[in-house]
Amino acid sequence: MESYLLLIHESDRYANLSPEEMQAIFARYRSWGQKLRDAGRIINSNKLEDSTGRVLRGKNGAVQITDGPFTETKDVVGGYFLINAESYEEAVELSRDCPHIDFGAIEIRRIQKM
Amino acid sequence: MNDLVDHLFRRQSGQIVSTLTRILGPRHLSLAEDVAQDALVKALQQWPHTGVPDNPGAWLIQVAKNRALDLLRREASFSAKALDIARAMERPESPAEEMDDQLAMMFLCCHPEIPREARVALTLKTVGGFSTGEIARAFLIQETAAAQRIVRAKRAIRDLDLTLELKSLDSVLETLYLMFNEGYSGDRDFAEEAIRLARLLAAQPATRAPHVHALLALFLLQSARGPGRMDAEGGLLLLSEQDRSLWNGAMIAEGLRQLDLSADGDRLTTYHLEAGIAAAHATATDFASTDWAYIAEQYDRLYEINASPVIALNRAVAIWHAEGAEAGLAAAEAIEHHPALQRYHLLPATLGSLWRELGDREKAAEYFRKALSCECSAAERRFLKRQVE
Repeated sequence: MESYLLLIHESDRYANLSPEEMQAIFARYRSWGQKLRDAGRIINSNKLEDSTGRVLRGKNGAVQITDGPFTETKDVVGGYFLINAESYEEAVELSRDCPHIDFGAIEIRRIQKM
Repeated sequence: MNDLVDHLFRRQSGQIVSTLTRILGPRHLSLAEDVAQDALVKALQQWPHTGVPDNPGAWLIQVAKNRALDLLRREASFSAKALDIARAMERPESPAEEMDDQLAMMFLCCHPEIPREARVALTLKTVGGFSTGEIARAFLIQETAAAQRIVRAKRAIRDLDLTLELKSLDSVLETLYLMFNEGYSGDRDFAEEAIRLARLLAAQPATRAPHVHALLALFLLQSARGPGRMDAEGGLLLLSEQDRSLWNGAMIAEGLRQLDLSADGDRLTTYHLEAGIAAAHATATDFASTDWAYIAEQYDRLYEINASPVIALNRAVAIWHAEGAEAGLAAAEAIEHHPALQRYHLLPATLGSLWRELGDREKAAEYFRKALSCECSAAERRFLKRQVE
Protein backbone atom coordinates (compact mmCIF):
# COMPACT_ATOMS: atom_id res chain seq x y z
CA MET A 1 0.00 0.00 0.00
CA GLU A 2 1.08 3.50 -0.78
CA SER A 3 -0.20 6.79 0.54
CA TYR A 4 -1.82 9.37 -1.67
CA LEU A 5 -2.82 12.91 -0.96
CA LEU A 6 -6.08 14.09 -2.52
CA LEU A 7 -5.93 17.86 -2.74
CA ILE A 8 -9.39 19.42 -2.98
CA HIS A 9 -9.23 22.53 -5.12
CA GLU A 10 -12.00 24.87 -4.04
CA SER A 11 -14.59 26.19 -6.39
CA ASP A 12 -16.95 29.12 -6.28
CA ARG A 13 -19.44 27.11 -8.32
CA TYR A 14 -21.06 25.74 -5.17
CA ALA A 15 -22.44 29.23 -4.53
CA ASN A 16 -24.85 28.97 -7.46
CA LEU A 17 -26.59 25.88 -6.13
CA SER A 18 -29.91 25.99 -4.33
CA PRO A 19 -29.95 24.85 -0.67
CA GLU A 20 -31.81 21.69 -1.66
CA GLU A 21 -29.21 20.87 -4.33
CA MET A 22 -26.40 21.51 -1.85
CA GLN A 23 -27.90 19.08 0.60
CA ALA A 24 -28.20 16.43 -2.10
CA ILE A 25 -24.54 16.91 -3.04
CA PHE A 26 -23.48 16.80 0.58
CA ALA A 27 -25.31 13.49 0.97
CA ARG A 28 -23.33 12.09 -1.99
CA TYR A 29 -20.09 13.56 -0.62
CA ARG A 30 -20.73 11.98 2.74
CA SER A 31 -21.51 8.52 1.44
CA TRP A 32 -18.36 8.71 -0.67
CA GLY A 33 -16.31 9.55 2.45
CA GLN A 34 -18.07 6.83 4.44
CA LYS A 35 -17.26 4.22 1.80
CA LEU A 36 -13.56 5.09 2.02
CA ARG A 37 -13.62 5.14 5.81
CA ASP A 38 -15.41 1.77 5.99
CA ALA A 39 -12.71 0.34 3.74
CA GLY A 40 -10.07 1.74 6.08
CA ARG A 41 -8.62 3.94 3.34
CA ILE A 42 -8.63 7.35 4.96
CA ILE A 43 -5.56 8.05 7.08
CA ASN A 44 -6.35 11.67 7.69
CA SER A 45 -8.54 14.43 6.34
CA ASN A 46 -8.80 18.12 7.02
CA LYS A 47 -10.43 21.29 5.80
CA LEU A 48 -8.04 24.23 5.55
CA GLU A 49 -9.22 27.64 6.75
CA ASP A 50 -10.75 29.68 3.99
CA SER A 51 -9.23 33.11 4.28
CA THR A 52 -6.02 32.74 6.22
CA GLY A 53 -2.57 31.75 5.06
CA ARG A 54 1.03 32.90 4.87
CA VAL A 55 3.55 32.51 2.12
CA LEU A 56 7.18 32.81 3.06
CA ARG A 57 9.92 33.67 0.54
CA GLY A 58 13.55 34.29 1.08
CA LYS A 59 14.87 37.42 -0.54
CA ASN A 60 18.48 38.56 -0.22
CA GLY A 61 18.85 36.69 3.06
CA ALA A 62 15.66 38.14 4.55
CA VAL A 63 12.32 36.39 4.86
CA GLN A 64 9.49 37.96 2.99
CA ILE A 65 6.07 37.03 4.34
CA THR A 66 2.85 37.61 2.43
CA ASP A 67 -0.75 36.68 3.02
CA GLY A 68 -1.78 33.99 0.70
CA PRO A 69 -1.88 32.02 -1.42
CA PHE A 70 -5.46 33.05 -2.08
CA THR A 71 -4.64 36.60 -3.14
CA GLU A 72 -3.12 35.43 -6.38
CA THR A 73 -5.60 32.88 -7.62
CA LYS A 74 -9.07 31.63 -6.93
CA ASP A 75 -7.89 28.07 -7.44
CA VAL A 76 -6.69 27.29 -3.94
CA VAL A 77 -6.47 24.03 -2.04
CA GLY A 78 -9.31 24.05 0.47
CA GLY A 79 -8.82 20.66 2.07
CA TYR A 80 -7.25 17.26 1.68
CA PHE A 81 -7.73 13.55 2.21
CA LEU A 82 -4.69 11.36 2.91
CA ILE A 83 -5.60 7.85 1.74
CA ASN A 84 -4.17 4.39 1.18
CA ALA A 85 -4.19 2.94 -2.31
CA GLU A 86 -2.34 0.26 -4.28
CA SER A 87 -1.51 2.53 -7.19
CA TYR A 88 -2.36 5.79 -8.93
CA GLU A 89 -4.97 3.80 -10.88
CA GLU A 90 -6.67 2.71 -7.68
CA ALA A 91 -6.40 6.18 -6.13
CA VAL A 92 -8.15 7.57 -9.19
CA GLU A 93 -10.77 4.84 -8.99
CA LEU A 94 -11.46 5.69 -5.34
CA SER A 95 -11.77 9.40 -6.11
CA ARG A 96 -13.75 9.47 -9.31
CA ASP A 97 -17.18 9.27 -7.68
CA CYS A 98 -16.45 12.09 -5.24
CA PRO A 99 -19.11 14.71 -6.11
CA HIS A 100 -16.58 17.50 -5.71
CA ILE A 101 -15.17 16.85 -9.19
CA ASP A 102 -18.38 18.29 -10.68
CA PHE A 103 -17.38 21.64 -9.17
CA GLY A 104 -13.63 21.77 -8.70
CA ALA A 105 -10.51 19.72 -9.34
CA ILE A 106 -9.12 16.95 -7.19
CA GLU A 107 -5.34 16.68 -7.49
CA ILE A 108 -3.81 13.32 -6.54
CA ARG A 109 -0.17 13.13 -5.42
CA ARG A 110 1.70 10.06 -4.22
CA ILE A 111 3.65 10.41 -0.99
CA GLN A 112 7.39 9.82 -1.63
CA LYS A 113 8.79 6.71 0.05
CA MET A 114 12.28 6.45 1.49
CA MET B 1 -22.99 9.53 11.86
CA ASN B 2 -26.54 10.74 12.16
CA ASP B 3 -28.42 11.48 8.96
CA LEU B 4 -29.41 15.01 8.12
CA VAL B 5 -33.06 15.90 8.44
CA ASP B 6 -34.79 16.15 5.04
CA HIS B 7 -34.65 19.69 3.64
CA LEU B 8 -32.37 20.82 6.50
CA PHE B 9 -30.36 23.13 4.22
CA ARG B 10 -33.47 24.69 2.72
CA ARG B 11 -35.25 25.10 6.06
CA GLN B 12 -32.16 26.49 7.73
CA SER B 13 -31.65 28.94 4.90
CA GLY B 14 -35.16 30.28 5.58
CA GLN B 15 -34.44 30.40 9.30
CA ILE B 16 -31.19 32.31 8.87
CA VAL B 17 -32.79 34.84 6.52
CA SER B 18 -35.73 35.34 8.90
CA THR B 19 -33.63 35.71 12.04
CA LEU B 20 -31.01 37.98 10.48
CA THR B 21 -33.71 40.15 8.94
CA ARG B 22 -35.17 40.62 12.42
CA ILE B 23 -31.79 41.57 13.88
CA LEU B 24 -30.55 43.73 10.99
CA GLY B 25 -33.81 45.06 9.59
CA PRO B 26 -35.50 44.44 6.22
CA ARG B 27 -33.00 46.82 4.59
CA HIS B 28 -30.41 44.07 4.92
CA LEU B 29 -32.52 41.26 3.47
CA SER B 30 -30.10 40.66 0.59
CA LEU B 31 -27.16 40.49 2.96
CA ALA B 32 -29.09 37.96 5.07
CA GLU B 33 -29.68 35.85 1.95
CA ASP B 34 -26.02 36.06 0.92
CA VAL B 35 -24.67 34.96 4.29
CA ALA B 36 -27.22 32.12 4.50
CA GLN B 37 -25.88 30.87 1.18
CA ASP B 38 -22.27 31.32 2.35
CA ALA B 39 -22.97 29.27 5.48
CA LEU B 40 -24.41 26.39 3.43
CA VAL B 41 -21.43 26.42 1.06
CA LYS B 42 -19.08 26.34 4.05
CA ALA B 43 -20.94 23.34 5.46
CA LEU B 44 -20.70 21.57 2.13
CA GLN B 45 -16.94 22.16 2.01
CA GLN B 46 -16.18 21.51 5.67
CA TRP B 47 -18.47 18.73 6.88
CA PRO B 48 -17.02 16.05 4.58
CA HIS B 49 -13.79 16.49 6.59
CA THR B 50 -14.98 17.29 10.10
CA GLY B 51 -18.25 15.36 10.14
CA VAL B 52 -21.67 16.86 10.77
CA PRO B 53 -21.75 18.90 13.98
CA ASP B 54 -24.07 17.77 16.80
CA ASN B 55 -26.49 20.57 16.07
CA PRO B 56 -26.10 21.35 12.37
CA GLY B 57 -28.84 24.01 12.41
CA ALA B 58 -27.15 25.96 15.20
CA TRP B 59 -23.77 25.60 13.46
CA LEU B 60 -25.16 27.05 10.24
CA ILE B 61 -26.81 30.03 11.88
CA GLN B 62 -23.67 30.81 13.89
CA VAL B 63 -21.51 30.75 10.78
CA ALA B 64 -24.01 33.02 9.02
CA LYS B 65 -24.06 35.48 11.94
CA ASN B 66 -20.27 35.66 12.06
CA ARG B 67 -20.11 36.27 8.33
CA ALA B 68 -22.78 38.98 8.56
CA LEU B 69 -20.85 40.78 11.30
CA ASP B 70 -17.69 40.55 9.20
CA LEU B 71 -19.42 42.13 6.21
CA LEU B 72 -21.16 44.82 8.27
CA ARG B 73 -17.94 45.91 9.97
CA ARG B 74 -16.72 46.99 6.55
CA GLU B 75 -19.65 49.39 6.22
CA ALA B 76 -18.91 52.89 7.49
CA SER B 77 -22.44 53.42 8.82
CA PHE B 78 -22.25 50.32 10.95
CA SER B 79 -20.27 51.59 13.96
CA ALA B 80 -23.18 53.36 15.67
CA LYS B 81 -25.24 50.24 16.10
CA ALA B 82 -22.34 47.79 16.15
CA LEU B 83 -22.57 46.85 19.80
CA ASP B 84 -26.31 46.26 19.82
CA ILE B 85 -26.15 44.10 16.75
CA ALA B 86 -23.14 42.14 17.96
CA ARG B 87 -24.93 41.46 21.24
CA ALA B 88 -28.10 40.35 19.46
CA MET B 89 -26.00 38.06 17.27
CA GLU B 90 -24.27 36.44 20.22
CA ARG B 91 -27.37 35.00 21.85
CA PRO B 92 -28.77 31.82 20.32
CA GLU B 93 -32.48 31.93 19.54
CA SER B 94 -34.86 29.59 21.35
CA PRO B 95 -37.01 27.36 19.14
CA ALA B 96 -39.99 29.61 19.95
CA GLU B 97 -38.06 32.70 18.84
CA GLU B 98 -37.06 30.93 15.64
CA MET B 99 -40.73 30.25 14.90
CA ASP B 100 -41.58 33.89 15.63
CA ASP B 101 -38.85 35.05 13.25
CA GLN B 102 -40.27 32.89 10.46
CA LEU B 103 -43.80 34.14 11.11
CA ALA B 104 -42.66 37.76 11.07
CA MET B 105 -40.79 37.15 7.82
CA MET B 106 -43.89 35.58 6.30
CA PHE B 107 -45.97 38.61 7.26
CA LEU B 108 -43.32 40.89 5.80
CA CYS B 109 -43.35 39.01 2.46
CA CYS B 110 -47.15 39.22 2.30
CA HIS B 111 -47.35 42.85 3.36
CA PRO B 112 -50.05 44.75 1.44
CA GLU B 113 -47.27 47.03 0.07
CA ILE B 114 -45.67 44.10 -1.75
CA PRO B 115 -47.14 43.52 -5.22
CA ARG B 116 -49.60 40.67 -4.96
CA GLU B 117 -48.04 38.57 -7.73
CA ALA B 118 -44.64 38.74 -6.02
CA ARG B 119 -45.72 37.54 -2.59
CA VAL B 120 -45.66 33.81 -3.27
CA ALA B 121 -42.25 33.96 -4.92
CA LEU B 122 -40.79 36.13 -2.17
CA THR B 123 -42.16 33.89 0.60
CA LEU B 124 -40.81 30.78 -1.12
CA LYS B 125 -37.43 32.45 -1.57
CA THR B 126 -36.92 33.95 1.89
CA VAL B 127 -38.87 31.77 4.33
CA GLY B 128 -38.86 28.58 2.26
CA GLY B 129 -35.24 28.62 1.13
CA PHE B 130 -36.09 27.85 -2.51
CA SER B 131 -33.81 29.24 -5.21
CA THR B 132 -34.98 31.65 -7.89
CA GLY B 133 -34.41 28.90 -10.46
CA GLU B 134 -36.60 26.41 -8.60
CA ILE B 135 -39.36 29.00 -8.27
CA ALA B 136 -39.16 29.95 -11.95
CA ARG B 137 -39.37 26.32 -13.06
CA ALA B 138 -42.48 25.72 -10.95
CA PHE B 139 -44.20 28.83 -12.26
CA LEU B 140 -43.12 28.05 -15.83
CA ILE B 141 -41.48 31.44 -16.21
CA GLN B 142 -37.99 32.50 -17.20
CA GLU B 143 -35.50 32.68 -14.35
CA THR B 144 -34.85 36.34 -15.15
CA ALA B 145 -38.58 37.08 -14.84
CA ALA B 146 -38.72 35.37 -11.46
CA ALA B 147 -35.61 37.24 -10.34
CA GLN B 148 -37.16 40.53 -11.41
CA ARG B 149 -40.33 39.78 -9.50
CA ILE B 150 -38.30 39.09 -6.38
CA VAL B 151 -36.08 42.15 -6.79
CA ARG B 152 -39.13 44.42 -7.10
CA ALA B 153 -40.63 42.92 -3.98
CA LYS B 154 -37.38 43.34 -2.08
CA ARG B 155 -37.26 46.98 -3.06
CA ALA B 156 -40.72 47.42 -1.58
CA ILE B 157 -39.58 45.69 1.61
CA ARG B 158 -36.64 47.96 2.33
CA ASP B 159 -38.65 50.57 4.13
CA LEU B 160 -41.18 48.33 5.85
CA ASP B 161 -41.31 47.55 9.52
CA LEU B 162 -40.83 43.99 10.55
CA THR B 163 -43.71 43.99 12.96
CA LEU B 164 -46.32 41.34 12.82
CA GLU B 165 -49.40 43.23 11.69
CA LEU B 166 -52.40 41.02 12.15
CA LYS B 167 -54.33 42.92 9.53
CA SER B 168 -52.03 41.26 7.00
CA LEU B 169 -53.14 37.81 8.11
CA ASP B 170 -55.64 37.47 5.26
CA SER B 171 -52.94 38.37 2.76
CA VAL B 172 -50.65 35.73 4.32
CA LEU B 173 -53.38 33.10 4.00
CA GLU B 174 -54.09 34.06 0.41
CA THR B 175 -50.37 33.68 -0.38
CA LEU B 176 -50.23 30.24 1.25
CA TYR B 177 -53.37 29.24 -0.67
CA LEU B 178 -51.70 30.16 -3.98
CA MET B 179 -48.48 28.45 -2.91
CA PHE B 180 -50.38 25.27 -2.06
CA ASN B 181 -52.25 25.21 -5.36
CA GLU B 182 -49.05 25.81 -7.27
CA GLY B 183 -47.56 22.85 -5.41
CA TYR B 184 -50.60 20.62 -5.69
CA SER B 185 -50.58 20.77 -9.47
CA GLY B 186 -46.81 20.87 -9.89
CA ASP B 187 -43.97 21.04 -7.37
CA ARG B 188 -45.01 19.00 -4.34
CA ASP B 189 -42.37 20.70 -2.21
CA PHE B 190 -44.32 23.98 -2.47
CA ALA B 191 -47.48 22.29 -1.16
CA GLU B 192 -45.48 20.81 1.71
CA GLU B 193 -44.02 24.23 2.48
CA ALA B 194 -47.51 25.80 2.47
CA ILE B 195 -48.65 23.14 4.95
CA ARG B 196 -45.62 23.72 7.17
CA LEU B 197 -46.22 27.47 7.27
CA ALA B 198 -49.98 27.04 7.84
CA ARG B 199 -49.16 24.72 10.75
CA LEU B 200 -46.92 27.45 12.19
CA LEU B 201 -49.77 29.96 11.97
CA ALA B 202 -52.29 27.55 13.47
CA ALA B 203 -50.00 26.75 16.41
CA GLN B 204 -49.14 30.32 17.46
CA PRO B 205 -51.53 32.08 19.85
CA ALA B 206 -50.92 35.39 18.05
CA THR B 207 -51.96 34.10 14.64
CA ARG B 208 -54.34 31.20 15.19
CA ALA B 209 -57.87 31.99 14.08
CA PRO B 210 -60.84 29.96 12.81
CA HIS B 211 -60.06 30.64 9.16
CA VAL B 212 -56.40 29.70 9.69
CA HIS B 213 -57.57 26.30 10.95
CA ALA B 214 -59.93 26.08 7.97
CA LEU B 215 -57.08 26.74 5.52
CA LEU B 216 -54.84 24.14 7.18
CA ALA B 217 -57.76 21.66 7.16
CA LEU B 218 -58.21 22.28 3.43
CA PHE B 219 -54.48 21.70 2.74
CA LEU B 220 -54.36 18.49 4.78
CA LEU B 221 -57.58 17.02 3.39
CA GLN B 222 -56.43 17.74 -0.18
CA SER B 223 -52.86 16.52 0.29
CA ALA B 224 -53.99 13.34 2.02
CA ARG B 225 -55.65 12.29 -1.23
CA GLY B 226 -52.58 13.08 -3.36
CA PRO B 227 -51.11 9.53 -3.34
CA GLY B 228 -54.18 8.14 -5.14
CA ARG B 229 -54.28 10.71 -7.93
CA MET B 230 -51.86 8.98 -10.28
CA ASP B 231 -51.48 5.48 -11.62
CA ALA B 232 -48.15 3.65 -11.74
CA GLU B 233 -47.24 5.37 -15.03
CA GLY B 234 -47.89 8.85 -13.64
CA GLY B 235 -51.23 9.19 -15.42
CA LEU B 236 -54.04 11.14 -13.72
CA LEU B 237 -56.89 9.09 -12.34
CA LEU B 238 -60.48 10.22 -12.00
CA LEU B 239 -61.82 10.44 -8.47
CA SER B 240 -64.05 7.45 -9.24
CA GLU B 241 -61.01 5.38 -10.35
CA GLN B 242 -58.81 6.12 -7.34
CA ASP B 243 -57.77 3.52 -4.79
CA ARG B 244 -58.90 5.16 -1.57
CA SER B 245 -56.78 2.88 0.59
CA LEU B 246 -53.77 4.89 -0.65
CA TRP B 247 -55.09 8.06 0.94
CA ASN B 248 -53.21 9.19 4.04
CA GLY B 249 -55.47 8.38 7.01
CA ALA B 250 -53.39 10.22 9.60
CA MET B 251 -53.46 13.37 7.50
CA ILE B 252 -57.21 13.11 7.01
CA ALA B 253 -57.65 12.76 10.78
CA GLU B 254 -55.49 15.83 11.39
CA GLY B 255 -57.46 17.71 8.72
CA LEU B 256 -60.76 16.84 10.37
CA ARG B 257 -59.42 18.01 13.75
CA GLN B 258 -58.43 21.32 12.16
CA LEU B 259 -61.87 21.55 10.56
CA ASP B 260 -63.42 21.16 14.04
CA LEU B 261 -61.22 23.97 15.35
CA SER B 262 -62.32 26.19 12.46
CA ALA B 263 -65.97 26.00 13.50
CA ASP B 264 -65.76 29.05 15.70
CA GLY B 265 -66.49 32.76 15.38
CA ASP B 266 -69.04 34.23 13.00
CA ARG B 267 -66.98 34.43 9.81
CA LEU B 268 -67.67 31.83 7.16
CA THR B 269 -64.77 32.05 4.72
CA THR B 270 -64.18 30.35 1.39
CA TYR B 271 -61.54 28.26 3.20
CA HIS B 272 -64.27 26.87 5.48
CA LEU B 273 -66.43 25.93 2.51
CA GLU B 274 -63.59 24.42 0.47
CA ALA B 275 -62.37 22.47 3.49
CA GLY B 276 -65.93 21.18 3.97
CA ILE B 277 -65.95 19.95 0.37
CA ALA B 278 -62.53 18.31 0.77
CA ALA B 279 -63.74 16.64 3.98
CA ALA B 280 -66.82 15.25 2.20
CA HIS B 281 -64.51 13.61 -0.37
CA ALA B 282 -61.94 12.45 2.18
CA THR B 283 -64.51 10.74 4.41
CA ALA B 284 -66.59 9.07 1.68
CA THR B 285 -65.91 5.33 1.55
CA ASP B 286 -66.34 5.28 -2.23
CA PHE B 287 -67.32 7.51 -5.11
CA ALA B 288 -70.97 6.46 -5.17
CA SER B 289 -71.60 7.16 -1.48
CA THR B 290 -70.09 10.67 -1.67
CA ASP B 291 -72.52 13.28 -0.35
CA TRP B 292 -72.76 15.18 -3.64
CA ALA B 293 -75.85 17.14 -2.55
CA TYR B 294 -73.87 18.57 0.38
CA ILE B 295 -70.95 19.36 -1.93
CA ALA B 296 -73.24 21.09 -4.44
CA GLU B 297 -74.67 23.17 -1.59
CA GLN B 298 -71.16 24.21 -0.46
CA TYR B 299 -70.41 25.31 -4.03
CA ASP B 300 -73.61 27.36 -4.03
CA ARG B 301 -72.40 29.20 -0.95
CA LEU B 302 -68.91 29.57 -2.37
CA TYR B 303 -70.40 31.09 -5.49
CA GLU B 304 -72.35 33.59 -3.35
CA ILE B 305 -69.07 34.82 -1.82
CA ASN B 306 -67.03 34.61 -5.00
CA ALA B 307 -68.97 34.50 -8.28
CA SER B 308 -66.11 32.90 -10.19
CA PRO B 309 -66.86 30.80 -13.29
CA VAL B 310 -64.40 28.15 -12.06
CA ILE B 311 -66.52 27.70 -8.94
CA ALA B 312 -69.62 27.55 -11.14
CA LEU B 313 -67.97 24.77 -13.15
CA ASN B 314 -67.18 22.76 -10.01
CA ARG B 315 -70.75 23.35 -8.89
CA ALA B 316 -71.97 21.90 -12.20
CA VAL B 317 -69.90 18.74 -11.61
CA ALA B 318 -71.40 18.35 -8.11
CA ILE B 319 -74.93 18.84 -9.49
CA TRP B 320 -74.19 16.22 -12.17
CA HIS B 321 -73.36 13.59 -9.53
CA ALA B 322 -76.12 14.69 -7.16
CA GLU B 323 -78.97 15.08 -9.66
CA GLY B 324 -77.84 13.42 -12.87
CA ALA B 325 -76.13 14.31 -16.14
CA GLU B 326 -79.00 16.38 -17.57
CA ALA B 327 -79.00 18.74 -14.59
CA GLY B 328 -75.18 18.84 -14.69
CA LEU B 329 -75.19 19.67 -18.39
CA ALA B 330 -77.66 22.51 -17.88
CA ALA B 331 -75.41 23.98 -15.16
CA ALA B 332 -72.26 23.58 -17.29
CA GLU B 333 -73.84 25.01 -20.45
CA ALA B 334 -74.89 28.09 -18.49
CA ILE B 335 -71.21 29.08 -18.26
CA GLU B 336 -69.99 27.58 -21.56
CA HIS B 337 -69.54 30.99 -23.17
CA HIS B 338 -68.08 32.76 -20.17
CA PRO B 339 -65.13 34.75 -21.58
CA ALA B 340 -62.84 33.80 -18.67
CA LEU B 341 -63.24 30.08 -19.40
CA GLN B 342 -62.50 30.08 -23.10
CA ARG B 343 -58.96 28.74 -22.68
CA TYR B 344 -59.73 26.71 -19.54
CA HIS B 345 -59.32 23.01 -20.42
CA LEU B 346 -61.53 21.70 -17.61
CA LEU B 347 -64.68 23.27 -19.09
CA PRO B 348 -64.64 21.34 -22.40
CA ALA B 349 -63.28 18.28 -20.55
CA THR B 350 -66.32 18.35 -18.24
CA LEU B 351 -68.72 18.91 -21.13
CA GLY B 352 -67.08 15.99 -22.95
CA SER B 353 -67.60 13.68 -19.96
CA LEU B 354 -71.22 14.84 -19.65
CA TRP B 355 -72.01 14.16 -23.31
CA ARG B 356 -70.36 10.77 -23.10
CA GLU B 357 -72.60 9.84 -20.19
CA LEU B 358 -75.59 11.14 -22.14
CA GLY B 359 -74.63 8.84 -24.99
CA ASP B 360 -73.41 11.31 -27.62
CA ARG B 361 -69.92 10.04 -28.33
CA GLU B 362 -69.30 12.38 -31.23
CA LYS B 363 -70.03 15.51 -29.22
CA ALA B 364 -67.96 14.10 -26.36
CA ALA B 365 -64.89 13.59 -28.60
CA GLU B 366 -65.31 17.07 -30.03
CA TYR B 367 -65.16 18.60 -26.55
CA PHE B 368 -62.17 16.49 -25.49
CA ARG B 369 -60.31 17.66 -28.61
CA LYS B 370 -61.19 21.21 -27.70
CA ALA B 371 -59.82 20.64 -24.20
CA LEU B 372 -56.57 19.36 -25.70
CA SER B 373 -56.16 22.61 -27.63
CA CYS B 374 -55.98 24.52 -24.29
CA GLU B 375 -52.93 24.79 -22.08
CA CYS B 376 -52.61 22.09 -19.41
CA SER B 377 -50.03 19.95 -17.63
CA ALA B 378 -48.40 16.93 -19.27
CA ALA B 379 -50.31 14.54 -17.00
CA GLU B 380 -53.61 16.24 -17.86
CA ARG B 381 -52.76 16.07 -21.56
CA ARG B 382 -52.18 12.33 -21.36
CA PHE B 383 -55.48 11.97 -19.53
CA LEU B 384 -57.39 13.94 -22.17
CA LYS B 385 -55.80 11.97 -25.01
CA ARG B 386 -57.06 8.80 -23.34
CA GLN B 387 -60.59 10.25 -23.43
CA VAL B 388 -60.48 11.09 -27.14
CA GLU B 389 -59.43 7.58 -28.14
